Amino acid sequence: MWTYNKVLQYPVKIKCPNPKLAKYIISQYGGPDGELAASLRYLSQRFGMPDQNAKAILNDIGTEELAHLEMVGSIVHQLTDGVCPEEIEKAGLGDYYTDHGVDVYPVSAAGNPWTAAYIAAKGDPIANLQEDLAAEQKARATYEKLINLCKDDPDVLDPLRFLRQREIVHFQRFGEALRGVQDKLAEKKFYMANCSQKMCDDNK
Amino acid sequence: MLEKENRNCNCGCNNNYMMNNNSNMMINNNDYPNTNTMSAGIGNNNENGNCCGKPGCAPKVPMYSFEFTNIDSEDTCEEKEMTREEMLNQIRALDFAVVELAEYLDTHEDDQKALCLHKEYATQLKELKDKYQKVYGPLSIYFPCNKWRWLEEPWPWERGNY
Repeated sequence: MWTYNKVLQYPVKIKCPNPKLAKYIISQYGGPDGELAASLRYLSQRFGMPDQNAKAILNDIGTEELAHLEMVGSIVHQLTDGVCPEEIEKAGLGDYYTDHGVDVYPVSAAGNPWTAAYIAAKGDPIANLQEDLAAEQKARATYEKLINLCKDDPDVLDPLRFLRQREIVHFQRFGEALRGVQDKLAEKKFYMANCSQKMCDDNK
Repeated sequence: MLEKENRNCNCGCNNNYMMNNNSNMMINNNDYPNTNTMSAGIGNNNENGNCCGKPGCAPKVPMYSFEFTNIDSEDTCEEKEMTREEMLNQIRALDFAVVELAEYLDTHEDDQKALCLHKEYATQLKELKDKYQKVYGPLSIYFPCNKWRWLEEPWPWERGNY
């Protein structure tokens, strides 16, 4: 089960609200390569992993992604908190404001609401881990695009850089887990008895 | 309705904030009347609900009523150490008590009785988890170990696990 710690993984202290940046950054909250999708992807896939290392890494990274979700939510909140509706609209967030005010709601930068179609759990550990590796790279690429768009505000850049670095570390860990799973699946199987025929007979 | 009740625990623990004699609290009182209701004292007017962290003053968190297959029936004296499964069930019960009290306190922050119960169960939970993890390995990644034992035990979603 989970417990909550009342501290952000990395500090978020943004002095100047900027709803335009919030509109872009919210994609890492509820977008296709965002932290919500990442967390649910890993926490859903962990059940089917064939070895302890893969289960552990999906469990522990899936948990860390929830801390990242909180950080991205904090960035979006601080960028929009106290901003007047006129400024919100000017930033292109009029549609968002209509339905959500300045609450933090999981949508992509284009305004599409979060959907489980963003994640996969394929019933195949190799396919799942390859998906996770791609997801980490896509998230890194997204953070790099956000960093390009947020160059003027060091308060926003700093946590984004931290989050980008975490994607790289997670990619590394998933690569190691994938290698372990591949080795395990390639092992020669040694049967003490031919159980499969017995199971067939029993099921008749 | 709540306002009419006496929600003070009358134990003086709030007058004396740094009460040190609570540090080794143990519940020895086995005949406390409310052993099977976790919500004892919360939302009802419980005359016995003085909770100050002193021995015997908080309702004992009940053991889950599972049938334990690994309990030796001859070893049921009180001095017997808890089995691993009993310890985990006790941790579960204390954890749930803390969660329930915390959620209640979020909307009733001035309720002294609930606050005292929270303090007592949170302390018991911390001590029991520490004791468990020293023997059986980590319950979370935050427990320091000399050897990485996080991978040793089956995961909680796996059949045959606790």
